[in-house]
Order: sequence, then structure tokens, then C-alpha cells
Amino acid sequence: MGLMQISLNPGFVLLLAALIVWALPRPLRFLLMAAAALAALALPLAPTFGDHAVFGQFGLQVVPLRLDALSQLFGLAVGLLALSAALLSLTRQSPSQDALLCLLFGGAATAIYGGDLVTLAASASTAAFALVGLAFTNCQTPEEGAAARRLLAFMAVFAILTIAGAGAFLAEAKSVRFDQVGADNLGGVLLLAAFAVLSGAPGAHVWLRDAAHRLSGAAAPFALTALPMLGIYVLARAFPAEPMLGWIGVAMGFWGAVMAICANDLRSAYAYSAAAFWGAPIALLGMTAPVGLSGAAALAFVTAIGLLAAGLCLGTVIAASGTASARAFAQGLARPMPLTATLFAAAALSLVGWPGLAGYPAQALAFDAAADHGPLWLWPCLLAITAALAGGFALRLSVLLFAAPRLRKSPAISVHPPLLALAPCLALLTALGAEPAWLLNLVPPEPPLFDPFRPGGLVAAVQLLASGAAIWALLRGIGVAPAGQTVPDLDLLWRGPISAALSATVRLLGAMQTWAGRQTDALAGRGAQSVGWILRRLTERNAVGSTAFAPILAAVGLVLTLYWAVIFAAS
Amino acid sequence: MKIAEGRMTRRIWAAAIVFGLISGAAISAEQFWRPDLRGTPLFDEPGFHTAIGVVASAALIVLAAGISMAASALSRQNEQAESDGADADQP
Repeated sequence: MGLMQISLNPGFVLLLAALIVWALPRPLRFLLMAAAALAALALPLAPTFGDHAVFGQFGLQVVPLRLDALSQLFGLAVGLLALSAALLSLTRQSPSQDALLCLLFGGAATAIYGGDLVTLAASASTAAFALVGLAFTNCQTPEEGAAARRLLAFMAVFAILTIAGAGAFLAEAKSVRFDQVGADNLGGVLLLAAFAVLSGAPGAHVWLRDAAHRLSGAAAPFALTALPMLGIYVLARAFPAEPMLGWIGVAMGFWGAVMAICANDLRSAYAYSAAAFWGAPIALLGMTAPVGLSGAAALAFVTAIGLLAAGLCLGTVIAASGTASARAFAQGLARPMPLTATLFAAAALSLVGWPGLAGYPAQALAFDAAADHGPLWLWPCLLAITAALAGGFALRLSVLLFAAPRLRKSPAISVHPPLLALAPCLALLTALGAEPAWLLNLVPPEPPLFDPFRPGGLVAAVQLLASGAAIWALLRGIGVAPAGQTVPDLDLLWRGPISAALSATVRLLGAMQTWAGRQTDALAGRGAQSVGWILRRLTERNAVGSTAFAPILAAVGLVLTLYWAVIFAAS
Repeated sequence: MKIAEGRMTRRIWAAAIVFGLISGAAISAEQFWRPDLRGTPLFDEPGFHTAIGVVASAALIVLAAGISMAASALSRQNEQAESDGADADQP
């Protein structure tokens, strides 16, 4: 078995590109990223469905590439995100941001196309730490450092739960095959918790908001789409028909929608809306009927594209206006960018399922599945969340971007809309809206027999969205709806008592390591001291930027090296 | 700033009227094109979507308003307590 056979996993191409991109000048960076993204899009179309390049290692069966309808659809979405990121690299200055985004997509795609838990744990952790790397680049103030460390904490919890879950599942099932795991064993429970954290389940949803604040406007939308989508893929693969997912998804939807309506900071509003939009596919995974999986997969695909397009537009307007506060926008500090605002409105309308755009067929399929085969409460809950988001997200943000009065005459800074990067997203949003069969033919487990433009369907969708939006506008007009307040979330707990307890624990561990370092012989002492040093660097208030960044890169490099060593030893 | 906010409110009112008109037009169009739906139970009728859109949206927005009012009351209280504390520290 040679390298060609191993490199069948399309994610490897992106991982390899990530290592090279760092050192390239911008035009070459764009070319390499675009080539890697196109390869990641094209490679999964060639082989037949099934397992490829299977080999045994230490008695475990490693499956570098497993292709079926589920992995193909989610993998194609990651490929599209990577292509959009490559197009955006033409306007982006930082090579490390490009490389880390490439690493994030590579990790996500490898996890999606891999067929065993070893590949999953290694590559999903790589993607998660790439996000942490993105958060640590350009930290300047203590607040930024604190937000980056909170992201590090969430992603470390995710990686530890994933690796522990894979290990526990191996101990119980004597196999690392990544298929239905189920939440009836310890490994399953740990994996469920890990990927619920990654999808932004209630409690962990604050990482989405921290990422939206800490990452640049050109990176945050990618992180907020790729990682929750990876989480949903794993939940769909490992925990089909797990009833708990229905409740988790609906809770995400309601909490996200309410917080999005409240939020004053537009980046927060975007992040909470993202949590709410990701809630619907997760809720559908809780259904026992296979059509629930179809609806969830189709909805996840169009949600990823819509959220990316909306996030890029919003980030551009925020960067140009120099503020993200809804109140400041309403007071006339928004920069007029009619084209970007129009594109944002199109993406937002697709997200809430406006007919004619890609969101509509996926949402119609999902809602029909929930109405016909789901538990009685699921369908009305999904309708309610969508109606609230139509007003609280789509209309509210579009009005702020479009119709907010302008007091600022001249532009503060020159920011160009990322039109090139938006082009593939918007082309897909309109094409899939007009010709839904392209999407529905790719949907797992098998293409559903479903006509989104059936009588009554279109009008019902318009009525739901228009009435939800009209009620928001009405209540906002008479002053009942919140006009933008800073509302604390669960992170009052993270920042207060829990954070204090965690940092005390980490300091205690660091002190113990230093003490152990003094006691044991020189070699062990050096090792323990270096761990203690890393822990101290990460907990120091001012240790942000490159100093804290180095150990994270080292950890990612170690995971990758170990994984490649196993693969090459086997071949 | 007051003028800008007043303009904003007027524009939101305009948006409400436009969306109301779209909603009304959609309901009438449905009734016009599909007379067979008249008299069927509410749950099966697309009118159910309007009802749930209105009720759910209003409920969640009012909940959000409650939360943000509570949050701003809390932060005002904290600021008050802090300034009281600062006053008490003054000799």
C-alpha cells in the first residue's frame, strides 16, 4: 500500500496544504489552498461507496477512507468552506490564519471521511486545536487573552472527552470501527458529550460566541460552520435516533433565538443565531425514522452555506463601521454598504427557509419529517424557533445593515466586501433553491421522494416567516422588543466561580509538577518542569500571543506526527 | 442621536407594514388558489403557520425583553452598589 492509497482521504490533502501554506507568499498561498480545496471536493466523487485502504495496526482496524452518502454530503460541505476560505485568502493578510483555517478544514474533513475512532479522535482534535490557534493569534489585550483561554478550555475538554470516549469504547467493544456507538455504554456517553460540546449544545454554546468575538470577521464564520457541522456529522453517525438529541436541539434553538433577539453586539447575535440554526438538525437526529436523518443532513448542508455567507457579510460591515453594537448602528454609526447588506439579507432569508433559496427545500423536508414521523412536540417547536429567528435574526440584522440611518458621511476605513469568497456560497444558495433535486439526490440514507414545491408548502413557509418577522417589527416599533442590551449568559458562571476553581486547580497542578520536578531525577524533572511551564504560561494573565501559541502548535504537531507514524508503520 | 433613533423606529414600522401585507397576501392567495382547504381543521391548514408564527414569535420576543430588562436592572443595581461603596470609602 503506497502513499497514493493512503492519501485517498480528501482531508489529508488539506492537512498537507496547511503545513506548506505557512511559508508561501500570498498568490501561491491562494493557489495551493484553492487546489487543495478543489482536490478535497473532487476526490470523494471518484471512488465507489465503501471502505478504502483498510489496514491493521496493533490489532486495530484503521479505515482511512469510508465513503457513503452521509460522509460525502458533509465532506462536500467542508470542501466548499475550504474553497471559500481559499478565495478569501486573496484579501487576507495573515499566512498563519490561512494555514490554521486549512488545518481546521483538513481535520474536519479527515474526521468525516475516516472510518475508525482513532482517525476521528486525532483529526477532530486537530480541527479543534486549529480553532484555538486562530483565537491565540493577535491577542493584544488581557480580555482577548481571556477569551482565547476560554476557547482553549472548551476545546481541551472536547479533545479529552473524545480520546477518552474512543478508548472506553475500544475497551468495551474490542473494536475502533466508527459506526453506531449508542449512548448505552461509557465510551458512547463520553463521545456524545464531546460532540455535543463541539456542536454548541446548551452550556457549551458560549464557545460559539467567544469564537465570534475573538476570531477575525474573516475567520469566525468558518469556525462557526465547520466545527458544529463536524459535531452534527458524528452525532448522526454514532447516535442515530437518540431521543436526548431531540431535547438538546430544541433547547439550543430556543435559547439561541432568545439570546439573539436580546444581544446588542452583532457578533453575539450572529453566534447565538448560529447555535439556534444548528439546533434544528440536531433535534431531527433524535427521530427514529430514517427521514429524520435525511432532513438533518440536508438542513446541516444549507445551514453551513447560509451561515458562512451571512457571517462574512456581517463581518465586513462591522469591520467597515468600526463598531459591532446594535445601538451604535441604530444611532447612525453604520457604514452604508448596500451590496453587502443585500447579500446578507439573501443569506439570512435562506437560513430561515424563504422559498426560492436553498434553505427552503431542506427546511420543508425537515419540517415534514418532524410533522409526520417525529414526536408530537418537535414540529411546533421547530416552527416556533424559525418564526422567532425570521424576526429576531433575519429581519433585525437586515434592517440594521440596510435601513439604519447614517450620520457618518465618509468611510472610516476602506473594507472591500469578500465578494469572490461569497460567490460559491451565493451561487449554491440560489441554484439549490431553484433546483432542489441537486441537494435531495445527495441526501443520506437514500434520496427522499419529496417535492418541496407541493401545493400549500410555499404559502405555509411564507406565512410562518412573514408573520414571525411582522410580529418582531411590530413589537420593536411599539418598544416592547429589546433594542439591544448587553445580556450575561451562562458564562457568568465560567468567568466567576468555575473559572476561579479551574485556574486554582491548574496552578495547583503546575505547583505539583514543579515540586515533582525538584524531587525526581534530572530527566523526569525536566519533563515535569516543561509541563508545569506550559501550564503556567497558559494561566498567566499576560501570556498571550506567540508565547502561549507555541505549545499548542507543538501539541497539534505531536498528534499529527503520531498519527502519520502509525499509518506509515502499517504501510 | 434622538433624530436617528426616531428615523429607525419609523423604518421598522414600515417593515412591519410590508411584512404584514406579504403575510396577508399569502393567506388570501392560498385561499384563492386552494378553495378545497376551506373548512379543514386548523392544524392541517397553512393558516396554522401564521398562528404559530405570531404566537411563538411574540412569546419569545417578550421573554427576551424580560431577560434584557432584568439584566439591565441588575447591572444598574451593581453600578449603584459600586458607587455607594465608593462614596462610603470617601473620608
